[in-house]
Amino acid sequence: MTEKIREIRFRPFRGLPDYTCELNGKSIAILGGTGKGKSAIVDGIEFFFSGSLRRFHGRGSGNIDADAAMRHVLEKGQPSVEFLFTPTNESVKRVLGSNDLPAATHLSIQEYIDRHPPAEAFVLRRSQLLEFIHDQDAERYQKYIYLLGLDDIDAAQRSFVQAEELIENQFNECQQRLSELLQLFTDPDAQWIQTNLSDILAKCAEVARPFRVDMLTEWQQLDSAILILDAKRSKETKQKIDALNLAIDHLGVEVPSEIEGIVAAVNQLHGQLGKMQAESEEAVRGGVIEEGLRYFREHPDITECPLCEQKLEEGYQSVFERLAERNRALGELRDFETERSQKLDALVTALQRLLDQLAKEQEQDHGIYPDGYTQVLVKHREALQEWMKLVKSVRDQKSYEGVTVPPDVEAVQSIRSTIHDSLKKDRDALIQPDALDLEKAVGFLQRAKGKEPEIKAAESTKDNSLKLRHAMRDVREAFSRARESAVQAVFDKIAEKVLSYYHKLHDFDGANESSECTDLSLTSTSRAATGGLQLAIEFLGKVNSCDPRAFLSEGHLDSLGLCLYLATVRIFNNSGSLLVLDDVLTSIDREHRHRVAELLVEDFPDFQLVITSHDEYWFDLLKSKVLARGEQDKWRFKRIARWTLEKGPESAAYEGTWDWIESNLVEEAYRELGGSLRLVLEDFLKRVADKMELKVKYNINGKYVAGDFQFAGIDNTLRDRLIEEAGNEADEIKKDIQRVFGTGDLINFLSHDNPGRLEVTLTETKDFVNGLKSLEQRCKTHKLIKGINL
Amino acid sequence: MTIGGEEQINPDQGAGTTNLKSELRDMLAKDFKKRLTESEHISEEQCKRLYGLLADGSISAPNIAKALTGDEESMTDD
Repeated sequence: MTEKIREIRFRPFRGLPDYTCELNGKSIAILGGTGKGKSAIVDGIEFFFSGSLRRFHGRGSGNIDADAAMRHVLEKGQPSVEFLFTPTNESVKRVLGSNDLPAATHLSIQEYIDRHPPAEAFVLRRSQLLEFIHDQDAERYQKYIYLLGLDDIDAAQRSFVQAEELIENQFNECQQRLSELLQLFTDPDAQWIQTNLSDILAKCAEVARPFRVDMLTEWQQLDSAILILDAKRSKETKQKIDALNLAIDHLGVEVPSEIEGIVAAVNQLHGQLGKMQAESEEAVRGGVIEEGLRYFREHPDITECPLCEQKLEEGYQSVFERLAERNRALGELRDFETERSQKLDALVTALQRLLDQLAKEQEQDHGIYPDGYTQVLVKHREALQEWMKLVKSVRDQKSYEGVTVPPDVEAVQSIRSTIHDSLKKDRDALIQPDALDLEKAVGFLQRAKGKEPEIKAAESTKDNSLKLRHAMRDVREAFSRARESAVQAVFDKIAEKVLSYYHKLHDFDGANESSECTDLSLTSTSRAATGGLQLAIEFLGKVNSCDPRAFLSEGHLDSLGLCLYLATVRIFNNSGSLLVLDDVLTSIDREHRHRVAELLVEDFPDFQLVITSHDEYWFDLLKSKVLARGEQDKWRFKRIARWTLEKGPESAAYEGTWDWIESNLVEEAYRELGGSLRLVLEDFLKRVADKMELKVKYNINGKYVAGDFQFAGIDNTLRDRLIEEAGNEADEIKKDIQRVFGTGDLINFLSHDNPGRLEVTLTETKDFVNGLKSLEQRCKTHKLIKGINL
Repeated sequence: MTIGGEEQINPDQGAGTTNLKSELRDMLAKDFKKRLTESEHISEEQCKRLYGLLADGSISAPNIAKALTGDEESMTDD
């Protein structure tokens, strides 16, 4: 990114009727008292990028007319903010009421604009300092998740969970099928419970052994064993008994028992889905919302809905968050629909199995069923086929109609049981008491022969399904843990950066001050489907994992909020982009402000910073840091001296002159003269000290303030020297000295960030100015001062 | 962006979003692969297919199931 901002033109915009902020591609620090138009400049930057001002929209903004608030009360022109860029020297202008930001004619400018995140991610106001700290874990998580853009990963996570459910259902079906087959070989009266094919073969050998079948250890030996047993049976009855056994076996398989459970689950899902759909009319527009969200994400500067072409009254961020929330709800809806679809598939499968079962039973009617049973079977099959059509229609049309349990299933099972018992009685009646064991053995072996291929296949399917189930569980866990670990690693990086910034602000001066916050963590927590991100600190190495609000002072919380914001900008925002800090140092004391200046200069050299402050001390500190690093060519320092409705902010380029001071020695402006008076006083003292060769304590940074000269006794030395030169004016000289040095705290009182400033009156200020001017004149007359250029 | 796939990164970009995003996805993909290969229940072929799904952004429940069963032909249906 090579483009930088050369100028920002506000014509008109809020309190800026026609104002140009010149940056010349550099960072800028703007100093100005309360109500001097600093925040209007920041508002203009936010307006340029987002088309609106966040603080005029959403919760707490009441009835603010956002458009009216952006107009100048006198200038009737449409508010506009224009950015001029360097090196291309082209501009882009946003006018209130126009739609999107006009496309830049130069690609590099468009790239510059596109690479900026939504405005709140690079414009920080004092009131927003504590946002990240006061956020709920879920809100904080969502903010970072948004910054990290985890939607695709979260969607993948859901897919792994759904795939696991899919495979689990398949496994349950396989197990159910195998259980049903094995059930045929179970005789509770004889305590026969077979659990696999090997058990069945062993049981075959056991029941055949009394009939001289000595060798039955392989399935291939089953046919010859059956032949041996068959030869011992009654020729008159064996055919009918075999037919009855076959029919009894078929009727012994119960109808799919899961149908009722699946129907209940489908209906429960239908209820939930119907409710969700009723609550969210846009559910049917799910795809549109998803697309819209993607579009918003890619176009952070839009001010108008891409579909309805209406202005985004709530502003980008609010609409974006609402879309994201709706998309999350739709994601939940989609998950429910997937589950519903799977359940309906399972229902169709179970029903088909039942129909196949009934078809086989129909085929077994070789005159052995009671009269009318086959007709009953046909009737029920037809009814179930109709019901199957209904289920398929509900599934395919995606309607949320209730699905009833088919009454035929219960009726079919009831009549099958009756027929099953009746056929068993018929069969038992055909068997002579002495042939009972033989017939039982024959029946068991024939059943084993008939079902062996099915059981073998079912066992194999179940084994494969079990393997798949284990693999799927490992896959889902692998993704879940890999995601958790990667996201936490990123959160650790962010926490590490925040802590390093916090230590930079609070660990200094050897052991005299160390950070109260000895460790800091951002830990992702599981909060149902949404997730959370817990911010915790270690307090003085003693209390671990605590909420910072429980231990840190307001000032420390402010600086922690600033560190969180700056670390997030450093990590997430693009190099070369803007970082705007609007008066964010209010509750941070002098020494810590010194560290903030250092942090900004050292850690954000690749950003174009726009910093506003009303704090003259900090403004000077920042300037000193920049000078000390030899980076004055990368920065501009601008003082706003005053603001008027007609002219807006006025520069303080000449504020260090007597003309400037005198023109502002009026009731409405004198309180802002602290900086100017300090400049002229220090300049005067330096030149006098130089001329008189006053011994001043050496200061390594070369920056001497009024107190250094006073400490060296400049007031007494100057008084004595002036009286030596003009003894007849001794009383006036003493008065002048008293006017200037006797009110040494006056400048501090005048500083606008000093709450005591109102204690200084205009008369006292004028007295100070007159005293200093008089002393300056006396020094010039008696050559006690080096050339004064003020 | 695909998870574990290659992405063009603008050389002008600093330690910005995209770097961290791709770093996260790289970490996730590598860790996922490592965990898959460590599992005694997942074959090398299954691992390859699953990793491929992640890399080309075609993760879905049916595709995951198909990647495990090796039903490659019907995988293209989705």
